[in-house]
Amino acid sequence: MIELTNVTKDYPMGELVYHALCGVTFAIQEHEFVAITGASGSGKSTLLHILGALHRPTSGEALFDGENLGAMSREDLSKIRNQKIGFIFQSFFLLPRATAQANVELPLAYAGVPRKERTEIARSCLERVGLADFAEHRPTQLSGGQSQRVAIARGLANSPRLILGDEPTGNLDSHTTKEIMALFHSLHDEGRTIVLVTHEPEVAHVTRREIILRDGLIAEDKTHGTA
Amino acid sequence: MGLREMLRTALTALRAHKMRTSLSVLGIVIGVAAIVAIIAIVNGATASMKEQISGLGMRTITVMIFPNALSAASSARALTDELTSKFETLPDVSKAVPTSSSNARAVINGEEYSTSVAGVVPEYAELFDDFYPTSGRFIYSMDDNRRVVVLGAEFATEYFSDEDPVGKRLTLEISNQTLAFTIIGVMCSAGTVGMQDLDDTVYVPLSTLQTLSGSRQFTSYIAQAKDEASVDAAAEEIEGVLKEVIATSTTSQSSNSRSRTPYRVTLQQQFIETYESTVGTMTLILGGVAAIALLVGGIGIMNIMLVSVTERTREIGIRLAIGARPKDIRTQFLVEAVMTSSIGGLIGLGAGWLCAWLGALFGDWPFVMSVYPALLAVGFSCLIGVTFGLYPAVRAARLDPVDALRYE
Repeated sequence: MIELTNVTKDYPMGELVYHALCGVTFAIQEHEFVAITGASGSGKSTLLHILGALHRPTSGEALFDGENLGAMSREDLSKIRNQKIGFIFQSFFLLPRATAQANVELPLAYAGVPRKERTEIARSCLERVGLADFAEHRPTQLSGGQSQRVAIARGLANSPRLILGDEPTGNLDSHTTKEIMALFHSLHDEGRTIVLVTHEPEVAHVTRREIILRDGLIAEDKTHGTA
Repeated sequence: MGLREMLRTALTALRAHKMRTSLSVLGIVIGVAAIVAIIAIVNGATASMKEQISGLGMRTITVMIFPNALSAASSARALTDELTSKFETLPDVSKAVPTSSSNARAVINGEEYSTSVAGVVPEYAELFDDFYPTSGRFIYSMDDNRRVVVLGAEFATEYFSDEDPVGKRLTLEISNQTLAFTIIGVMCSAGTVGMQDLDDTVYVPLSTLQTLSGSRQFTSYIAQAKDEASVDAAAEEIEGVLKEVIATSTTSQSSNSRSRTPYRVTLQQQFIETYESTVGTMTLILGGVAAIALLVGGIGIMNIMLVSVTERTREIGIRLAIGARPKDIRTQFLVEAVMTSSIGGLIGLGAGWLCAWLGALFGDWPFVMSVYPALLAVGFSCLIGVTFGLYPAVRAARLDPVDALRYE
């Protein structure tokens, strides 16, 4: 599904250039459950941005379903993000003025789904994460766990094949973390590919595969027996 | 994302900052209201002015003869007689009525009031529609050189409010001579026609006025062509007569003659043209000021949109991350800007019409409410929205999704 070949990413920092990724090569197959870990500054966020079609690599090749992300226009990258990827962020990133329902509908609106259909899909996504009764609540009226569930529902709206989590449990207590992880597992069981960036070992260890980054390079790529 | 969605999103965003939105809207309201009001007021005033000017009819030719046309040999009286008889023979002229006007002081109950006095012949009243005496009679030819006076409606009501003045005496001071006149009639109210206020004037026989003021008097003619098509021909014929008569009468005085012709022939159409060009210039100046107001309003919108883009950087990041295309973001902010300015345009249109209506009420001219300023206002405000909203919108669309998400 995803194939990275010798991917590098540089950020200009004034006069200097910061090398966030220094040549990363790996592939993620359909239906995998992967954790990307590493210390802060190891390049895991940068890697996530490339996997999520938010940034183009400086060099190397990043293929998503065989398409080279590096050669795509910003418009086409938006389309990939909208159709093929569901993003889950650490601080949820819900629109504060919109209801849960409206937040979940947003990716569908950008996909051009008609209004009536949109309402139905959003409702079923909220149901899927167990928040059917909270459709008309605004993010300020929701707890952290509920907000993250709304964010996951939003991530599911366009039925993407890849769910990408950026420290999805970073702002949650351990109890809620378990619930959210259980939700990721059930989504995985339904056939989705899931990639989580995390520095929490308890999250990383329940995935099947763990890619550990250090200083912009892959330090370790191991498969856990369980999960 | 559909247009309806866009409009709803924009409305939500504008509602979130009511005060800020109202103030940006206000800037456009002022500009548009000013433009709409100016156009409507000018249209109304022009319509009323045209009606007054054309009250004399488009066939009318005004001839002004300046005092320096008179030589010692020819008195105003003799010149008038000569011109009148010559004008009457012209093929394209149906009527040529001499008249003369002067300022006078009326003495009523020991108080002096200034008024304008017109020297007229009996045919003068026929020049205007519905200009007739409500009491007594107008000047007759038998009144030649008599000291009789006919009062205009406004003059009569102002100084003889509760009594019929016919038969009474009115003391007038004309050219430093104070004389008593007998009031023989009061005219109906006819308003202002052409350049003449018919109501606030007193009428005396032309011969009387000419005798009193002598050669200093300024004489004019109100002539009418046979029909509207022959106006130019009639004017040329009149000018021909003037050239001939005045040239012969001024030869003895050539040392005194100036390069300027001692007469002027004006067509009614020219009055309207002159008026329109004056009004056109004024409209342009006022419109320019209003356009500046609109420009300032537009800059206000741009400023607020830039603030809004910065403030909502995080929101833009979220939208981009979940699949909004840069052009969706651009459209979103553009729609917001256009909505702000269009709301301003619509309110401004209403406010402008209200101003124009009030102006018409107090200015006593018709309230002209045409579609054209409405379209102009709405179109112009949309244009302002697009023009000043484009830069902030493009800036929003260029944001990097990751940077935008990290923005605090």
